[in-house]
Amino acid sequence: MLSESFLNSKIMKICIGIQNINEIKALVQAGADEFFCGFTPKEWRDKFIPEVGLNRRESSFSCSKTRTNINIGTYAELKDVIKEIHKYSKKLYINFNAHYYTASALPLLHKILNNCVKYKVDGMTIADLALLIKLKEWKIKTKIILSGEFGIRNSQDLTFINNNFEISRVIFPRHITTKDMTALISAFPQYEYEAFAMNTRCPFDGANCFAFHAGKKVRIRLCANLLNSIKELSFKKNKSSAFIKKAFDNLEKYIDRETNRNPSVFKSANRYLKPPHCGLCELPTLKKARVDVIKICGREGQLLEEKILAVRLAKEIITNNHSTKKIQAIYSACYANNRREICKSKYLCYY
Amino acid sequence: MDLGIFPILDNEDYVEQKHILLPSIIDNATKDFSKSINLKFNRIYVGSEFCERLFPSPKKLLRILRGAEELNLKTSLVTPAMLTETGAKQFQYIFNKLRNKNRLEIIVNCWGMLELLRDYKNLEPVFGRSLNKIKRDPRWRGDSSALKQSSLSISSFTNLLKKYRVRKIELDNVPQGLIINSNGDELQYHLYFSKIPISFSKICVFGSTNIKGRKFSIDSPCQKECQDYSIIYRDEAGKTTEHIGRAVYMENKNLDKINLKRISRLIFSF
Repeated sequence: MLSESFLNSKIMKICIGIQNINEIKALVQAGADEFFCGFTPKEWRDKFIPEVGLNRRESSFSCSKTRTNINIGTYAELKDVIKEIHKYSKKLYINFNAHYYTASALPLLHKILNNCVKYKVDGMTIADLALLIKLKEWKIKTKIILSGEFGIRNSQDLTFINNNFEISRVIFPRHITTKDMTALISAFPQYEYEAFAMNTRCPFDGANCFAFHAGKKVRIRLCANLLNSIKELSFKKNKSSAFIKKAFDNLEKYIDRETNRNPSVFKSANRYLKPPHCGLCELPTLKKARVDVIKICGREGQLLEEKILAVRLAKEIITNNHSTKKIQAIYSACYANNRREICKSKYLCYY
Repeated sequence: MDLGIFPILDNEDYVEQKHILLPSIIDNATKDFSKSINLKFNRIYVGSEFCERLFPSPKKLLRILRGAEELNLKTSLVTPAMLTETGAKQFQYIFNKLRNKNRLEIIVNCWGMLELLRDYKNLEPVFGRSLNKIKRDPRWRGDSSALKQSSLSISSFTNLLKKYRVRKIELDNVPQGLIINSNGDELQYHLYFSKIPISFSKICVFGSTNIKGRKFSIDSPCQKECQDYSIIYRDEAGKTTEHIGRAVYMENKNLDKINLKRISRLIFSF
């Protein structure tokens, strides 16, 4: 059993998504410890894109036969990225976290995974139960990380995984309370744990969002599509006018929040650096719960400048014992000209 | 073919007000089918697939089970996706109360539920539609065989399910159609129509905005606002999707792309 002082002394690591080799050096200097990326080689793009992605990093500009943007698109580039990251003694994990792969896709998937192992990738992030089974059958030796898109939420879920698979790390889903994270970590201390800390807090649950993120026929994410469409309320029973008014107010609040459009909240924001979704206030709680790694995601293809700032900010919070007030002040100084409206509104909070 | 009904909300009402409600629901469910499909209505689905708070209390549940029995209906209990740690413990408590019941189907929508059900031999796990991650998107137009299948096309996957006593698989009437593989098969397939889930969330569209203080938080307390109202989204073509609390549903009544010979049960979800 590890002592409490040992656990407290452990430094949380920062894992950030990258889209090309040019980002690595600056992010290492900012304080990143680990990297993750998507990889979609030409052979997969030719056969399956736009319908079936290798991962969930399928934003509208990443998903075509010719452009890969936030996914690394060639083996040559992948080799270079791995080499560069290892030069700094850091790790690279590749997301193969599509919700599912069909039987007809397995031979090509097997070949791609074998190549990744050959090029010495440090691990793979998996969301599909069938792929977990196949990794075992194919005897692929790599560190297996359970994606947040798998959706581990309770100790029965983890018992199921523990009884059937050998994994190293669990990434908690976006929509989970710190209380449930704490309970799971104390029930299964043998795993490493990773939690979302910044960027891209989706309105829907990753494991249970069955719509396309992007594609030839569906240009944008469904959540964005819905919020931009015509909306009306449907009442199942007769209600008072006060009730109806409140319901409409609530709908407005929801749309404001999910589209980040409330002008009173965002007028103080930094013009150049869009305030990101954020869970930094909860880092002290996550640290105490023994979360090993925090994730800064980059599915939307953030600018390098935004990523560097996010890593620096996270590093500052991890290494110092700041109060919530101080954390909010630091965040506001970076993104909101020292005004606290954004934190107060909770529009961008992860937890 | 067997027909079940799944009222996504208000399960209890449909059993308790049986004489008024059930005949009209069955009419509604069957009117779109040709007379060549012989549907035998014999089952009601009770519970919730997107929110553990909508699952009836043990007392209510026993009343519903009794009510269904009086109507000669079998019952399937729908358990939710995204089950919290507290929720998992509550289900353990409920299942203990059901230990002496005859065989009962449990529709499983999270992996941990399969594990939990190992201890209850009278409760039969059924692979719920949320565990089948096939794409469901109202915007999709096209014909791609890659999209008509999911992990269920992989025999090692179905073998693992069988290890957990799963013999029945529930599918959605997805707009792109389905290819149902045989995989050896002692598996039976059930098909939901016409409301199909697109996305679930832990942040309730109304529950999270209706409270002061911890606004927008995950698992925020609620007054079951989803029972009173929902949001209808209408696209440019007039097509609608419905946001009910923590879930968004689309509608697809067209069964032309499904080989109904492979289906042993239809479930009318509304």
